[in-house]
Amino acid sequence: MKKGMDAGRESWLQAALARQQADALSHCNEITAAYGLTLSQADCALLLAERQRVLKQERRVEWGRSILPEIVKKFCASPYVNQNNYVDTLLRLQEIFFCYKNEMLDEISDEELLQFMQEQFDSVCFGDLDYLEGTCLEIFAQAIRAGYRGQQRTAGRDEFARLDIVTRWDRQLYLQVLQELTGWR
Amino acid sequence: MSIVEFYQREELVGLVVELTERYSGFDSTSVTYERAQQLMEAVCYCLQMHQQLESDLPTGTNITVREAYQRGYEAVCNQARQVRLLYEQLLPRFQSYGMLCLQDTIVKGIPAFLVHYDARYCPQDRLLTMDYPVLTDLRSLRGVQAVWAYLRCIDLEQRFLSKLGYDFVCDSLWAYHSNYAVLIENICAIVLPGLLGYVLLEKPLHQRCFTKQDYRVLTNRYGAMEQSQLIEVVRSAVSRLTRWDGDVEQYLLQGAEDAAVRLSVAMETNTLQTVCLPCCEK
Repeated sequence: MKKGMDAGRESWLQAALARQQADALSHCNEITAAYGLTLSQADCALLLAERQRVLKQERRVEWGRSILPEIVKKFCASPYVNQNNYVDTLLRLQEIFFCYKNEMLDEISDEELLQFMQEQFDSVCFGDLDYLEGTCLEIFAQAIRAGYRGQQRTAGRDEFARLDIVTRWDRQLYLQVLQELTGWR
Repeated sequence: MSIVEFYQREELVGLVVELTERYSGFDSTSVTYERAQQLMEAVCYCLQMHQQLESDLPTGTNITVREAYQRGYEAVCNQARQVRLLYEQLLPRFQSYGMLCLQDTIVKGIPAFLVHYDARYCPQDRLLTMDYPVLTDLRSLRGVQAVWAYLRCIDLEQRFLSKLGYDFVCDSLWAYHSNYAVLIENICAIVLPGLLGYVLLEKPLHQRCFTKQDYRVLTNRYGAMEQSQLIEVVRSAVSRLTRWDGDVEQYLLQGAEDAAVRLSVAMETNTLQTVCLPCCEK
């Protein structure tokens, strides 16, 4: 009888927690609507189900509060996210986030990691999640594991420039050279 | 009844959630399985400490799980303070008698424990490897309780060995094994059988070695005894040796059976000189 009551109490708790997380995600629509992005109830359910899968895969636990609303708020203003790729992008970002929390041995806060991811996604990666995951974050993770803690001073801002191994074009210089070569104004 | 069965699961999870948020400085919504397990064990350890103290509370006292946890945590901190106090009392009179593992454990291990012990996030961890073995079985104890019990055992041993004198103990250890410094064995377990030889033969300690006649007398009197009988004789001899301190007596009685077995085997195989009863006759 007690086991049955316990199981009942547990499933009630889990259901209450799932509702709370779905509500938090739905409320993000109030912010993202300004960028033409909305999540349906089905989208929220899918994201939360994937969250469970990824957490299990990465052997992590989220007690109550979910990182998903923070991911939504961080990336909703990205020029590379639109309503067509919104859910898929969020799914990938969530997976990448938890993977790299492990890769960085929890030496980086959620905010620092999200800031870094958003900056690189919008700049160096030009919206390419594979590049974000396989290059920028990989390099950053190696630095963190080696003891780098510069992101604590900068909250994750402008960190990749310090660690990037590729000599990249400066945007202004690129446009200037393009003008000179083509006579384009 | 385990802690998880005793308290409601949601109450325990609530405490673990708070501890996790505190641990991560509210900077992370997630932790690894290993970290979650560690923090859950930390909560359970403090609650167990409180359960052990519960007998001091008046019956019918109802407290919340949060209060129980807090009291348990305070008990953990208090026990850590007791470890420090005992260590500070022990250190000035501490003698390793040349045994390296004991030296390292007390001079390096305990201070490292006192610096690194984490009463809040990992109270269940002993940190100390306790290489030097003591007579008491401490396997069931965890965290600061294990270290406290261990240090107490060392303290009781030191009290006993100091009565015998440094030279006597070192001579006994050397008679057991010329390179005893590298042994990982309990000093009392080595010294006790030889010491019992003096008691059983009613020989004064200052007569440092034994004759073949002594061996014959010992073997004749006790060699044919049933093991259980010999154990009782040895226990009685240990009690006589340690009647000046009940705690030391209780501690050494835990080594009485082993000492009796060693004496019995030595008498059977005619090798009493190997249980640190050196023979002065060629």
